[in-house]
Amino acid sequence: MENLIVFAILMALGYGVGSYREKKHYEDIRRREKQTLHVPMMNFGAKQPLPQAQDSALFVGSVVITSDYFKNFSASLRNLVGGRVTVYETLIDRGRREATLRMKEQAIAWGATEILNVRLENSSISGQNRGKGQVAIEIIAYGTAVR
Amino acid sequence: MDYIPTEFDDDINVTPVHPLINLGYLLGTVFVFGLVVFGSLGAIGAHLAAHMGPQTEANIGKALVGDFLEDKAAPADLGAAEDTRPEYLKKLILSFYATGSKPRLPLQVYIVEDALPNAFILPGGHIFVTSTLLEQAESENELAFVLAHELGHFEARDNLKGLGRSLVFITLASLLDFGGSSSGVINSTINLSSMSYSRTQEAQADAFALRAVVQKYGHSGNSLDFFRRLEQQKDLPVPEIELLSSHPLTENRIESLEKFARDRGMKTTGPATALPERLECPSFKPCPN
Ligand SMILES: [Zn+2]
Repeated sequence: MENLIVFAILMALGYGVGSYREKKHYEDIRRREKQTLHVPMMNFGAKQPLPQAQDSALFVGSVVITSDYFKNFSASLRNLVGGRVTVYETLIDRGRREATLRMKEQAIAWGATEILNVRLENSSISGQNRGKGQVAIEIIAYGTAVR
Repeated sequence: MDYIPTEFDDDINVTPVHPLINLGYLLGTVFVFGLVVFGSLGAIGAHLAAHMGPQTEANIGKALVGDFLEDKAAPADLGAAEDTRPEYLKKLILSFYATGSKPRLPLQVYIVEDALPNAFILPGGHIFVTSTLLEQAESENELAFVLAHELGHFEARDNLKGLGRSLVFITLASLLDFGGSSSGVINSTINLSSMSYSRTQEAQADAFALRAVVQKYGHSGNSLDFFRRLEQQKDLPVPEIELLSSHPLTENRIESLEKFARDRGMKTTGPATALPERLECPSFKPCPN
């Protein structure tokens, strides 16, 4: 019974706090995306000629995200039956967009007119918790800004 | 090529499903599946209990008893080799069978040291009697009733049915022969000495026992003395005693048995048959201490 109460509290905490912060984060992401929309990002550049520019510099944006108890529980149930782990989709989506924004905002502050050769990568940080469900993912966005 | 800023499509990478609905769906699926498994295990267990062949039952019994004896006592205490009392008890039990009929499995009787007067039967026809029961027995009639009650469970396969769902795993373990390690499966699934029967099963075992003693002695007198005495002892840890567990103890039980006997015109009084001397000591020889 006690375990059940702890479980319920953790689930409510995970869901309540998790979805509130997710909502806030999405609002923030959308606002910043609009603000930075005027600078184009492209992922060509590795083997193509670059546009005429004075300066170029590398910018890296990275973010580490982790899940909450509610999402973990939902995902572990999903592990039993298979299928799309929809609870993690928003998590990854937010991480990707946040990392991109961080990279782009730095580049804009530097004075970028375009960002080329944009790449996204991620690595999982499992530490001591390997195999126990609690994982964090780092998402890295990097690109070459020109001005 | 001109750059025309367009906003991101918000939902392209996110499935538009509410997390709570998603969780509800998952919980529902797992719950329904669990229910199906639980239900079919129950059905298979019941089927196995009712239709299991004697060989399988004997195998299961062997595994169960092996574990039980390891927990309970060293084999020497059981007196299987030197003690002649189990043989006596076995003869008493077999005397309940009409000539020409015999139990579906060879029966085995063991005496275990225990502070409580108790008797129980494990699958495979292994009957356990505690030393205290033998010490406290005052006539053969009451000992016979207790043994016949356990035999009633055996004949009705209650001891198999009592294992319920775990019977499925135990049967599998014994069929696949996990060697000595079948004990792991079995130990983790059941607690043998507290194997409990339903009230109906107990009542039927009682009726079986009553018929058996009346057939043997011609009357049911003295047969219920054991229960009458236990009724006086209020401080017994009742649920641990198979003979007493799951009963609204014991007044009802004695009454309903007496009614059962009267209704069928059985004789309810008669002389007590004496027990062999020194039943409480191994081989009926004077006790060492
Ligand atoms: Zn019983």
